[in-house]
Amino acid sequence: MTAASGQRRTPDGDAVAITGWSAHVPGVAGDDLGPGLGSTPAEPADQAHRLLGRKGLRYRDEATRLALCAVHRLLGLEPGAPRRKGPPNADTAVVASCNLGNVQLVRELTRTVRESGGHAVSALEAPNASSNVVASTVALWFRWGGPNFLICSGDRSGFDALAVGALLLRAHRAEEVIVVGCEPADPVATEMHARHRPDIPLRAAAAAVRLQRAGDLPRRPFLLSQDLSGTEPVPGACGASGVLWLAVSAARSARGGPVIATDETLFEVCR
Amino acid sequence: MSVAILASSVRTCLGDGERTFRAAVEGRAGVGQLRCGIPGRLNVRAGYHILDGDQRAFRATDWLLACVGEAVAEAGVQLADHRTAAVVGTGLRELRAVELAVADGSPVPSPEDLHFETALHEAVPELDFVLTASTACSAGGHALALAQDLIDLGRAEVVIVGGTDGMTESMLSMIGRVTETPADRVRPFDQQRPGVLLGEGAAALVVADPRLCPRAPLGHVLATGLSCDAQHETALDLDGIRRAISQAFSRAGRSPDEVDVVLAHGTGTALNDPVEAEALTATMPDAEPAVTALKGAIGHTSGASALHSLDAALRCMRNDVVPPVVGLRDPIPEARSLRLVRDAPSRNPVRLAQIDAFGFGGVNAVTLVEAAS
Repeated sequence: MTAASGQRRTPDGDAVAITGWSAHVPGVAGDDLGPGLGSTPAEPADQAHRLLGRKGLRYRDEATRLALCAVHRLLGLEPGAPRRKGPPNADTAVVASCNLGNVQLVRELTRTVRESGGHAVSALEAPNASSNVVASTVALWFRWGGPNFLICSGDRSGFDALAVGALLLRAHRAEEVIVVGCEPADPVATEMHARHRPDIPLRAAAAAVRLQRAGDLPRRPFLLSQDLSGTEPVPGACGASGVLWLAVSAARSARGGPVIATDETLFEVCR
Repeated sequence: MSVAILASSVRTCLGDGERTFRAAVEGRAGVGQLRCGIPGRLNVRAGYHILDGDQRAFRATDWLLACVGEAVAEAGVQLADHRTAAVVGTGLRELRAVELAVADGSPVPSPEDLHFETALHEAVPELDFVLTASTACSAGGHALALAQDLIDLGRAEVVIVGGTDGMTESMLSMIGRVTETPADRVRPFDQQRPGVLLGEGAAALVVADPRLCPRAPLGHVLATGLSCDAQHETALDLDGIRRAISQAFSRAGRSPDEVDVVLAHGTGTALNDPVEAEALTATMPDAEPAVTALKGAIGHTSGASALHSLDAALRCMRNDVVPPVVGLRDPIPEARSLRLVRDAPSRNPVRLAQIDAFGFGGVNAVTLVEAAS
């Protein structure tokens, strides 16, 4: 297999391979971002049931719905396909990246408490109030019992989530890691994002990749093309950006096999 | 490979690490009237507050930076000479700033204000990178795991492990919504436990490759086991907890009967305490370590909780004393086989400690810490 120009090799035992990728950007057909990412425009969060089915979706917030959609696509599931049951798989870790998922809820709860008192809030919102709800819900939904992280370091959090995923693999804390990045675009999230990037509006988006140790794979993967380094497939995607970049890069680079990202690729481009 | 603990600095409602430990040994609690939000609006009346002035934004950042500054000074290494990183665990981030914007009509913060990385890079310019994990009440334990892995894999030589959390009206509203009668204090493992109360606090440790130690370390982090229940959104799962415990021991190459003290998560909620007691009983059937818990003394400090327990564990080792579970009067039946320390401190040698941290969403971290030889 010939490597694309400008790539460096690392020992396969140290390298992390991307063995699955998906994108879910409402209103955008995934194929417009990269081949094989979806032929029709992705559903907005309030239509997520068309992909996920209705069961269990009712009280999920926007960011969580988009994340679930991205992972549903990553797994190659048909729309409405039933979810895996049975005991959780302890060998699969989940690392999510999301910064603005609960800011609207936090603002609404505060307003409700101040205007009407605490008895007026709904206890059903309790899971959504915790910032790690995206990561824990993905694990609960798809029955993954390995390490579970929510990374929230601002614009860079998607790249940091990928780095944490790679770390978990190299530390042998998991056999595979699902990294999912997402952001909602509700009014509060949009307003907060505008404080930081007034030139680029916040964009609701989600993407997911599956990472595995390259040395565990039965055949030698291709190396990731570096031509796409530094591009932002969907401007304004905040915490979803890093994972979206990797998913789109993989889609554009892959020729039928898993795509490898060397440690230098991840860290050179991301940092 | 275990990592050496070069320094540890904490802030709780009771003060620094020394003051906090002494108060816990003496059975004192730092609980007082709730000072977050508008009195009477929430079904919560008490809290374990750091009394440092008004309820302004970014106090969690201030406490974290204070602890980091102290820990870095205590560590005695030149950070500029080493690959240095920071990993911060937090449950609530700086969401309080979003809430205060509602209260006083000030502009909403930027997403970059919600995490602590900018502040940390400014305070510690030698940092190569910072990772922020918002993994609810076990975020501190998760941060410890990442820090050790970074050093083990040669990605960093020195890591500052931080944890910090204040309170938010939104989280308090949830606590108030699921409690019938507001709790007056936290009573871990007590039959009449009234529920959880939040505590404000931060912590920072400096951990490093053991070969770098300039002098005897405070102790060693042997391993952290991580798991996700993937069973229920809020309730604990016995199997998930057992997996985290089991993983900690297998990664450390130790066995449960070597443990001298367990710093339990012990939130004093209806669900946590019986399940945790069952898990401890099941995983150490032949051992009888002392079991204690800090939340009766300092409240539930969320992201900093595991690191507060770790600091206390180091002091147990240094002083050969285990503080009682503050607030415990009548232990629950599920804890009948456990040697819960109550009423008075227990004086026994402590070399190996287990620290439990279980978070919302079923995220579990169990850490094993050993005394410096």
